[in-house]
Amino acid sequence: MIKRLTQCLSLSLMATTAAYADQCDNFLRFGNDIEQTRTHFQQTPEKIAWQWFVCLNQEQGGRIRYWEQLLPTSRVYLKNGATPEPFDSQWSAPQAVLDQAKAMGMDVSRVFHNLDADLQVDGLPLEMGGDSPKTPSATFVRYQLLMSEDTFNYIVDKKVYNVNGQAALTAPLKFPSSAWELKTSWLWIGDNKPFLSLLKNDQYYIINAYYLDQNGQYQAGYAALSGMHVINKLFDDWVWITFENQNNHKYTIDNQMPANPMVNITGPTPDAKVQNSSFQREYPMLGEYELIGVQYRFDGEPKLLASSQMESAFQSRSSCIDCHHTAAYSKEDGYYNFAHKEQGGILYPIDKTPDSAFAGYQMLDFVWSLKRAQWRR
Amino acid sequence: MSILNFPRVFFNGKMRWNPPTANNNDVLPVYDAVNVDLNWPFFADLNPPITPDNVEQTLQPWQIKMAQAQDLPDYVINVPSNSGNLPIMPAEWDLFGDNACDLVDYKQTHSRIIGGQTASNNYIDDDPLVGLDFQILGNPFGGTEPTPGRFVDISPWENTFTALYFDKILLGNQDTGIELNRQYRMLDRMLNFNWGAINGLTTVTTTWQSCFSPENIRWFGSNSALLNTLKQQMESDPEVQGLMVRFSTFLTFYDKNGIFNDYPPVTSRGSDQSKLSAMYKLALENSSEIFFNPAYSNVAGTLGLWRKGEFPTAPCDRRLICGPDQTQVKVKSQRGSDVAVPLGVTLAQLQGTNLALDVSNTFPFNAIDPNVDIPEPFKFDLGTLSVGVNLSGSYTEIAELKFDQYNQQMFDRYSGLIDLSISPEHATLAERGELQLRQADKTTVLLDEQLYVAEIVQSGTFVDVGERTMLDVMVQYKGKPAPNTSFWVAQYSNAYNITTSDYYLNFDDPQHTTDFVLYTITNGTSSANLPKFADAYAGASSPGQYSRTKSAATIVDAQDSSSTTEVSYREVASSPVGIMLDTNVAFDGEQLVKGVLDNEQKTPITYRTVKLTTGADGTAKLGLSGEKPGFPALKISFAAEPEFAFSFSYTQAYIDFMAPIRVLPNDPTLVDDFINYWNGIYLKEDAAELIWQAFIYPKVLRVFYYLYPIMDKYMPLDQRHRIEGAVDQLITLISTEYREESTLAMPITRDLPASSRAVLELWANKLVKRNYPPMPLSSGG
Repeated sequence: MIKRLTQCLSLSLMATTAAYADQCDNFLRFGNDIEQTRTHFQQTPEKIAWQWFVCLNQEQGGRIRYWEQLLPTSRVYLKNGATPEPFDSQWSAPQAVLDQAKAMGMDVSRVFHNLDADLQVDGLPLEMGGDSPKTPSATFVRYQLLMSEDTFNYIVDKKVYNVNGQAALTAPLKFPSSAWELKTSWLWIGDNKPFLSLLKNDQYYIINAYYLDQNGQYQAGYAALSGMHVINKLFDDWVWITFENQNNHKYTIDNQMPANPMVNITGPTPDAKVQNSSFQREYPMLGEYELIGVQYRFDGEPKLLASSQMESAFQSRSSCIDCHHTAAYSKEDGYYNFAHKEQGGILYPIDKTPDSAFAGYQMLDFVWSLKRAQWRR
Repeated sequence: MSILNFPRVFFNGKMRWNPPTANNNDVLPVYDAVNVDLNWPFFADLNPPITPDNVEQTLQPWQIKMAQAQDLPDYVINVPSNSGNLPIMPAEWDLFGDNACDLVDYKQTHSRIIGGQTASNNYIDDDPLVGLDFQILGNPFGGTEPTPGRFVDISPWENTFTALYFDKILLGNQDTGIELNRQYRMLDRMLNFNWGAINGLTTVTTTWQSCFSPENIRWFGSNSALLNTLKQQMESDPEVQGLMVRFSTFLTFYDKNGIFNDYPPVTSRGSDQSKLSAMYKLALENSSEIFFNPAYSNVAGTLGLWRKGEFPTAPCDRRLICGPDQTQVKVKSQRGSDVAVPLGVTLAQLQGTNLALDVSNTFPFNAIDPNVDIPEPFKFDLGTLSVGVNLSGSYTEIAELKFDQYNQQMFDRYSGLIDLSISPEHATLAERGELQLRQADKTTVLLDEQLYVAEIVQSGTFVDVGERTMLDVMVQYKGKPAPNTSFWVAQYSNAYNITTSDYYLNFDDPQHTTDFVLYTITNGTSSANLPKFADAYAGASSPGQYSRTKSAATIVDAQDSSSTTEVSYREVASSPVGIMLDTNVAFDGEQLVKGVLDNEQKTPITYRTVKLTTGADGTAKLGLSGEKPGFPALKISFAAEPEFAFSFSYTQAYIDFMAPIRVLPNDPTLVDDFINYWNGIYLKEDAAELIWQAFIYPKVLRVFYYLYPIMDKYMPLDQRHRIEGAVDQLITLISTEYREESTLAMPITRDLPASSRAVLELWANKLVKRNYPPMPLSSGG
């Protein structure tokens, strides 16, 4: 599968991106030279992060971007806990979605993405507001998690795509170094053409999307990419990268009353800013997206890293690496609770949680998306 | 002692109060608070009735529409306190309140440190600390951003009913300032409803206090001489055990959106509330439209020393009160009529020849102009008053108290503290005798010293039915710990589950036959009846038992008995607006007291009391166990024998030693029912939805969903996926540990019964956190 993707990528590289053709070649496996990638990464993590972001966003035949070929968790962790279909199996959106989309005049030949979540890890949604259209009920930013083929294969191999498999674990998980995951955040547009146009002007990447609402009805429409977490296992403690559109403050709001524009308070870091101006100039298609920062060491900088779209309300206590380090499952207690009881309230880990906290747990190698697994009943 | 000592740091400003009024209804018995449920019997009596089957479609529309008297059952409109309160919108004025309380810093309104004193004759207003903000802060919610304190009605029906939970008080900032980390929550003290006669709740005042040991104090910077002096005093004086903050809140106003905040302007008063109703409707449909409409009070307070033996959460020092034999003062009400009101409480401390008074809650006041955006208070001029000593019936004036010492200007400058210089002879006399405040004629007593004062440190404690707890009772005599002092404790309750109402002794009534007239209706006007015992204490009938005998006189003194209807306690208690006055807690070592009421029926009453004696440090331990759910208020008597009044008006309670306790109900079968239900469905594909529909929502969360619609914004309690998505946070916030002190406890009112908590924790920990395993639960979870 990766070979197929790489061929597609090679064919579609535009002249302006030719300089990065080499970097994008087999980039999900670090060009087959992980040591060299590690060396380059440690020299300029923000630059490599941007290169990966460019590769992930290479257009594929003018219709989709490279990352859209990764597998969403909704097709990995199935509701009935069944074994998922192979990574490259054929799939299409539910007919009800296609019917609705057709009626709305959408191009149904494009990929439809299942944006199956609307909550952040602190249990809160992110409200759309500001220049977003007023709607009869609150509209929340939606989310989708995706994984690379090597990530998927490991999950299938270990049979941890359902909770039965996770409960049967007798040793910690250890994903391959070529494991990747993406978490994406989306402004929901629906069928609102003026809003679609507004977001296009701000260079948001627009997709066909749908979700199942609380009444069990499919909702189809357009969605705009507001943020992307990119993680891979270049290092044992993974690499943690986040990008977001710099216009998000116009369309998303915090949960204060009255609400304020949602902004990122953790970045862009100074090193990210340097790369942002360079890459944004070079890749106008991604010109409104900015790298917020990169983490790959527990004791490294920046200590705090968050997306305003995915860790909105707890950015001041958000550290990707420290939070994901707590990914663990216990047969007795279920998934580890990282909403730590501290100072009479709730605080999320921004330091490495000691091993003693995980007595009775099997470590899930930083992969919290495993939480989405269901039981095979 | 206390903040009356030196040094003192003064602060003032505005306090924001943001209560959720759907559960705080003053007129309609919406919430069956005793049983922690919606008041379904009351809803069933509405037309059309609201039932569990139609609640989703009917309750919220009813809450946001004006309820007219003709639409309500007689048992509601006849409650004495409901006179003149209809029509009313059941949601009242702040449907989406989140229980927050904090200080205002908005546009021209600030809450700041205004000055200090290191001695009575030096006022410091050029210290670096002066001009800096002060704030009450809550516990962290995911980040470092400040959260507000929370105020919660432990009992919605009593005077000393509100607890103020906080994490820290910050005076100044991290360059120059002091951080006081919570050791004791606060409770409203000396809440004087009598002053409501002046201008309603606007002129009802209360006092708050908390104390902090050195290990809970952080000092920032060293450039404030005021703080340096305070620190030096605290650390060098072996009699000082930390710092004390005391403040009063007064001059409360409503509907101030746009003036103290950026919320949309609201008018929640008057008969036309259609705009507010429309705004509520929009917000209930769309959480983006949710808004607050807080009340705002003035606040004035002092930071000072906390000495050994002083109450941590209640004002100590020598206490002067307006007892039943004292004279009230005449002032003008907002309507222009003369009204007689008692003075509030004065606290006094003798420091050599300086008599320091805390009159922050003593003298009545009103707004200069209540119609301006930001009303300012003024004190009524009661003329020159006489401060003196009553010794064996002989009164000696030791100082005059002139209006220019207690007027608003001086109040604002000194946060209501006054220093009177007296002669050494008078100081000696003051040590020996009882302090009094008299009118200038020196014969009319306005305030008299209450020699014995007691405080239950853990006032506002939650106890589950069947749970035993120990409380600390501190007793003082003339402001100093009173060793080897005996006292009695009894429990009182309120008879209506709406608003603040009168107190009645809790009594044993196993057959539910005890009855008396609770109120009368004369020409359409209801009046409370407050029966008394037939006589004073009549002696013990047997060891451990006391009895009251003697027949009663008539209970109703109606001018025209033909138009008077008597409404009995039983009638009210069995209606949806009534509360049983049954005994709620059993005391360790309790004794039974028997008596009869002073009525025609000579109603026999048996109540429980316990006699305690303080140790050498002036404290005693009170053990009690939850017996029946409810809101007992513990009252202390220093009489030689148990002489508790059977009933008394809530307007008297501000001078009393009352401690509210919340006894939460317990459903002993709920956990087993939950387990059995799950064990019957766990293999089903839709097991998660089934357990939600059958148990979690209807039996645990539904009541809170309707009472706290603010949750719609953060964790809608009727949406499974939102609760599941926040299950980690839920588990933390519903813990018993957080119920005690956290400002983030869920539910914010802390009234989650133990059995409901057990089910919720079982569901969250063993089902949601494990993604609903297809396996049975054992009885141990």
